[in-house]
Amino acid sequence: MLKAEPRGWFPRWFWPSFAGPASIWLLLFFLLPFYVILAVAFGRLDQVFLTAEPVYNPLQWNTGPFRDVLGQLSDSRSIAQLTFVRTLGYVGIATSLCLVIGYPVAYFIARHAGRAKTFFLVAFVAPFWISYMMRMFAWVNLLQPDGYVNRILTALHLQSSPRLFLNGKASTVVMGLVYGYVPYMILPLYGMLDRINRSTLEAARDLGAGQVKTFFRVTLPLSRQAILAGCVIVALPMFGDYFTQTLLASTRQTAMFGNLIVSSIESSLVNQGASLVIVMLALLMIPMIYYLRSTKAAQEMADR
Amino acid sequence: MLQHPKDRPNPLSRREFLKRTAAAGIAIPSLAAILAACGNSSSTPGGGGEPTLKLASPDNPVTLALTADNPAIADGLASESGPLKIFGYSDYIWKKVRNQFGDSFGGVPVEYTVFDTPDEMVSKMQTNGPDFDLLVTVTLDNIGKLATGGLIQPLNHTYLDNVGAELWSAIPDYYDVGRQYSIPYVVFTTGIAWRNDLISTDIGAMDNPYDIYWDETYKGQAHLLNGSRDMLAVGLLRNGYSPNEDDPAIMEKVKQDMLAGAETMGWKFDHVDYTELSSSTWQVHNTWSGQMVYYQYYLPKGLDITSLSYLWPPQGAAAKPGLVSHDLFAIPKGAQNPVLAHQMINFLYDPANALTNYTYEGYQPPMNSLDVDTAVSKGYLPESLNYTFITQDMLPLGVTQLELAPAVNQLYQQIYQEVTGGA
Repeated sequence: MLKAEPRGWFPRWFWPSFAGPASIWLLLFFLLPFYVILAVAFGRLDQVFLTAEPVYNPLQWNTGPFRDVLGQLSDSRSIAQLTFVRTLGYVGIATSLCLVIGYPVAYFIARHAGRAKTFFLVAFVAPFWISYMMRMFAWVNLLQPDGYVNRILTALHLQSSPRLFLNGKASTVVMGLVYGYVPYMILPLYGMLDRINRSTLEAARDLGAGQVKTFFRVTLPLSRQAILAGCVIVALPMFGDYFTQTLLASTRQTAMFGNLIVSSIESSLVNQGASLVIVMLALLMIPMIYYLRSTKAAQEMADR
Repeated sequence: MLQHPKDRPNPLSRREFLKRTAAAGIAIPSLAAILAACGNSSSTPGGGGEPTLKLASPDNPVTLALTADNPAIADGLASESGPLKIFGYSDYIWKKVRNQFGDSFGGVPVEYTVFDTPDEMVSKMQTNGPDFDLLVTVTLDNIGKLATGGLIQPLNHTYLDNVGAELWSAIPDYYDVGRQYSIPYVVFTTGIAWRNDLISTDIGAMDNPYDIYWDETYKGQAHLLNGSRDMLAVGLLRNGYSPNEDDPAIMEKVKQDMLAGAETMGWKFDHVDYTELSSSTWQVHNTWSGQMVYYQYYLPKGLDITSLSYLWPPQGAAAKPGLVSHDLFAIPKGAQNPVLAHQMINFLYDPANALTNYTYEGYQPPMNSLDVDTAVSKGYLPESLNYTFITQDMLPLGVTQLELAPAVNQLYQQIYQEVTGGA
């Protein structure tokens, strides 16, 4: 156990004051904007401009639009529930694919890349220095009927005619999500896998475990927290993503929850849009809380 | 790190809990008061009482009110030193033309800020209106709001002599009688564009050209404009209703028609048809006539501009109703360079400047000196698309989207969301 920092001559407020900048940052850029969202969700609509008229006094809040949104989400025929369930599906599949793709990559870099480890890491991450929007635009070109993807598939005789990837295909949207977010899965996995003490693995081998058994009994359990972290880091922004769908599909059949929010906020349904944001935030708290509890439990276990 | 229970911080005492609760109780109203002070508490920035919006239509022309606290600029003022700050859709005034304007007025700089949607424009005008000098491309359904809300200033027509000489007399002004606050900028129709090398149907000969969007032969190949008004206009016009319909029963019927189409056809919703139609990703599009000029710049090798067709339904064999409209110039209240703003409007009504701008911008200015022969002979409009050119006698054939009552506007938005899922 680490020794506590010596108090020395410092006044009582000295060390806590280090949290000041972060606290101010959070207050200014998270809590205040969130309160504004609440004020919009429970506020009024300007009857001339049809724009939001936030109400900051909770005693004057109008809960009508929020109740409407809750009603819509519980109605299986509503577009709100439809897009919510679809988004859940997309995010679930895309997160799983990110894990399936990301884990072997992270494993390879951490364990087998040797001196080229840094090169592989940089080579892998470098394309993602380009903005998300530009990368998605690139996919629009690649996936067009006469784009490179179709040309290659046709040249390899994997298809006889160009596949219309951009004509409202769920698979294209999921592919876009995976492509966009997979590095955020790889980096935490790599960080954890790289830190696993090799003597632990050698001990398992000495005790008679084969490579496969060592992986499943030692490496995988030890990387469980990183898997969880990667899934949370990837799934949370994916859930609010709207741009990928807009660029790669933009149809009713593929619309995501984020699209519904943006569409509401950009229209006279702005109170409803803000209510959808609150609902989404509340729902996303569930995996977040699970992750935090799990991390805490793992930490306690490690400290025993 | 696992802590021994004795080392853990004490749980909140009752006294501490009450103290913190009281602090929070004080803080929340204070926060609310601070935020309220920062916000826009009134929908009448121009002052006065609660504004009432009069809905304009050809049968109900509206003269927008002039107020003492929002006068037009005086006659004969000298130009300001700028910079002239323009707020408009992307590329709606060619940079070359903006530079020419700057050069004509002693090297005054011209800045251009872009908005993406009319809603975004209105929102920014509410918060930052005086930051801009000239508002380009205000849609007809927004001009009443901007004037009633005191966000734009009246125009002084003594600075706009080119406008008086050039503006089509057939352009209506029922939304702003006497053009006190606005001047038309470009005119356009909304119609059907398609790849005639990929689509065998003769859309112009159809009994109802709007049926093409429901024709399952083109499933997965049809595109509608995004935005509640334009998208719903397709369903309303297909079924013989006004694009400004407000009867909930009719709207429900049209919604069901649109839902069926969206489900079976897999419509895509956006307004970048010129890139998609040119690349054969999609084959039939609802679009604006002004966009058709853009297509030639996106054509892949081997595809000729004659592969593209455009139909404004009133010009089809069945002469079905179709949309026609125009966008407007306006000057924000509190603009720092209102004289320059007037001069820019006038500059764009100079025939030579207007033609140069049209070359790039694609949308047609409603000016007497611009005719289709000139546009084609000078290469501004491909000959095969000369029928996208609008003439004054076409205006009475079309219908225009008007401003809607707030509740009707919300109904349109709700239906739009249900049909598109927000896509």
